Amino acid sequence: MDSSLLDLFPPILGASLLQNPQVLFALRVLGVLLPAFLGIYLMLPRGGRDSHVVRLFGGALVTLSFVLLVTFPLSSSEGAVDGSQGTALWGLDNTLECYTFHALAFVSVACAVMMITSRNPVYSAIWFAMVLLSNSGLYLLQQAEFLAAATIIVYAGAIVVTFLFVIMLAQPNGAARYDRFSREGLLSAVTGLLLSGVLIAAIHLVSRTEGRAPVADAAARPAGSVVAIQAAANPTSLLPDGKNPNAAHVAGLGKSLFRDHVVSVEITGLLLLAAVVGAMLIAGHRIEESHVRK
Amino acid sequence: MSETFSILLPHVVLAVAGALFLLAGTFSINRRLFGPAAIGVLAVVGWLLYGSSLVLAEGGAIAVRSGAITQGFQYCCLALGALIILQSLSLQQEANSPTGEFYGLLLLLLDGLLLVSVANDLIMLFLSLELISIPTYVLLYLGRKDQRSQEAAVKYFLLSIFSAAMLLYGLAFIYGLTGSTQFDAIQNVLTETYAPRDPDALVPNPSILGVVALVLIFAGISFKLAAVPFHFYAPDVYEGTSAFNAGILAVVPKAAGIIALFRLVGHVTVGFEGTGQQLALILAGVTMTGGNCLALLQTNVRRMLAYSSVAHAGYMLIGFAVGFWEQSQLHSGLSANAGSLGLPGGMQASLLYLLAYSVASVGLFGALIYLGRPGRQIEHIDDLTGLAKSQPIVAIAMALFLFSMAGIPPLPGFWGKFSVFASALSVKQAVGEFGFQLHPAFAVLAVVGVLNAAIGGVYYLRLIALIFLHEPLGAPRPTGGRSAYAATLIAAVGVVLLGLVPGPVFHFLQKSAGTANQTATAATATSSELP
Repeated sequence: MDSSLLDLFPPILGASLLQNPQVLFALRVLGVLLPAFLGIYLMLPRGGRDSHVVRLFGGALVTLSFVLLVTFPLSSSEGAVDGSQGTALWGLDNTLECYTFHALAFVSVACAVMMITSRNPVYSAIWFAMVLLSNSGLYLLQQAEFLAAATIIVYAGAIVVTFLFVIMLAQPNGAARYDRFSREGLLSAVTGLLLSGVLIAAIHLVSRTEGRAPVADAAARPAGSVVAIQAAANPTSLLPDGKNPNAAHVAGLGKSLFRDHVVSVEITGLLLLAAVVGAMLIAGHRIEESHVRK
Repeated sequence: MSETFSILLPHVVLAVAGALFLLAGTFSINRRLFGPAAIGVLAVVGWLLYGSSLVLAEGGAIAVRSGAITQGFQYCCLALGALIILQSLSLQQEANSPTGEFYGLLLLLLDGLLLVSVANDLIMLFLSLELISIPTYVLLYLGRKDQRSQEAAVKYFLLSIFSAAMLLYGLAFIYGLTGSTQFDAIQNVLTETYAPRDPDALVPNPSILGVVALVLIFAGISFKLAAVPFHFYAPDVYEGTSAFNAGILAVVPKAAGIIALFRLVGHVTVGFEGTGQQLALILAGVTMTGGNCLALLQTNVRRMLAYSSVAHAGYMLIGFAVGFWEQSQLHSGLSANAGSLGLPGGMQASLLYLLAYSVASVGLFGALIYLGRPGRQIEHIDDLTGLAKSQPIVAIAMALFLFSMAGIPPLPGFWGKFSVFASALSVKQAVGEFGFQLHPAFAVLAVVGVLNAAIGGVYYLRLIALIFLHEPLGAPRPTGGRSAYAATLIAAVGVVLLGLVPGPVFHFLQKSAGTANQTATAATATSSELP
């Protein structure tokens, strides 16, 4: 009875806490992320006026957290797969690709922080466009040219512009009071800390103990296995991992979209139809004056 | 291709009909025609489904897969959809209400529900779930025209988008882990890795990314099921919106979430059954207890039903915890013996529960629609006091639905609870070399479930006592229309039939569970036998 209950919750009721390498690892991840948590919490807009000093300090803390994430060893190198010397999440090596990646990643994270801490929704929309641009750069680094172009055209080009129009049309007198400060700033910052901690820990563990792309590495599988056959048939369904640089991207994507996923494409059409008709119905549908509580 | 098309034909017809309704809404057509026409469309789709099941009983292609359970689910969805449309007939009589668009969106929503049940691909599963969500947002906006209903619609909209993002993130991890979005391919990759048939093969520990993916997927689907702790929207939205919309919210997203889990478990969870079992166990226990205890405190009818629907989601999750266990037995080569009592397995028990819950829920909300008036809905439970004196037939129907939800034999709610609890108690674990004993976690879960059924009985019986044993406070003037009345009565007949003759449903679920297991084993066998 007792043993099986222990089996049910092995991570919680494990051996003594502080000697457990998993607990140490979790504490390190939280420690690395703690400056970012404090910084974002300080930067969130509250009632009263913005203090530039506080915002600058918060920004410095977020930057510190990012630097720690790149340099600080999160776990000991035991059990690491071959070829991964560093034990930080993304170790620096001396390639242009690596520097570009870190620069773009920093811009992306910094703009995202600015997006959620801006008091003015218009600024938030513009910072969001910056996030998307730097993400497009990251997609380009991963050789996903189509995704990069589509992100810029669809998001930065169309959706952010629509955001700006909506904000300007809906609030001609400036943002409403409830739009200008964040309620539950502490709770949302804690949630963000926990979520990013879990995700970073998971990705770190995978990259240390399982190597890159654990199961999806179809090329390494015996020829003739189902996975290899499927991979040969669908080059675009593979994650680009540098081993097959010749995988067809845009043409392959189109082929895959209209051959493997044609039903999904049609469902997307239905979805957009429902959304457009719904938007028009809601826009044409006025709240009756007599029901509005003043 | 022809297999794909024969499975998809009913869905295509439904989608085209929905689009035509949207188009017809812009012309000046007699608005009374739309509702019956929509029911006619559902009848045609049902006939086409029957036709396609004759061509192709079991099977599918890359994007879609059908089977006996899927088809049974789809017939039930069509029947319940027809009842929902019947309820709405008199609501759509007001001048200037967008009737064509209303029924068009309702048909698209039903199409989304049917598509979830055949989806064989992560992308398609997600898109089908969204095809349910987007019309739901619009229906919520159109439901009533005051600030409370607008607030409910915005609340549901924002939280639903957030949950969809979590679901998508989880599905993306599955794709990253396996390199495919197609269920069979994912199953093959994961089986080769985590449950190889070669006994000497080195089995790695389940990747932590899969665990993260499973948690995110559960979070996304739990919102649709309104499982604790993703239930916070349910009471506010049910209370703020109309009885009709609350009825849709109580049935459609829940059915979609359950059938989506049914599609996912066993395909994309190979190797992660332990995690899934823990998640489902904990969610089920917390959801049942939380929902029932909070429902005890409510005095608003729709709020109470919202919490009761939360609790029912918990009972359904028990079946999935058992389902995860059965899958892990299947992959470790042991035969899952949950069906040995002549009962369906865990997930099939959940589907039976879903059917019992949905019929009672549709009927109950139909009765509330019938008893309400446009400006004055049934809000407080005192509005139902002494209903037996003024509306005896509706009162008896409501009592049937409430008894069924409380799990009083021989109504279908009892059969649902019985099979879910029995499946939990059929989970054995090995002791020593040959002995077996009850799995303690599942035994605890079954006890918690039975206790919860008792707690649930309190507030259902309290409502029944109010309806039958008290003098009416005022004479209600039902203006919900004859169609809502008829829908309530049809649902009541359904409850009685399903309760008195549960045999065919049990037999059907048990048989299809057997075939599903055989197919899964066969699929694994084929994958390993390829050169």
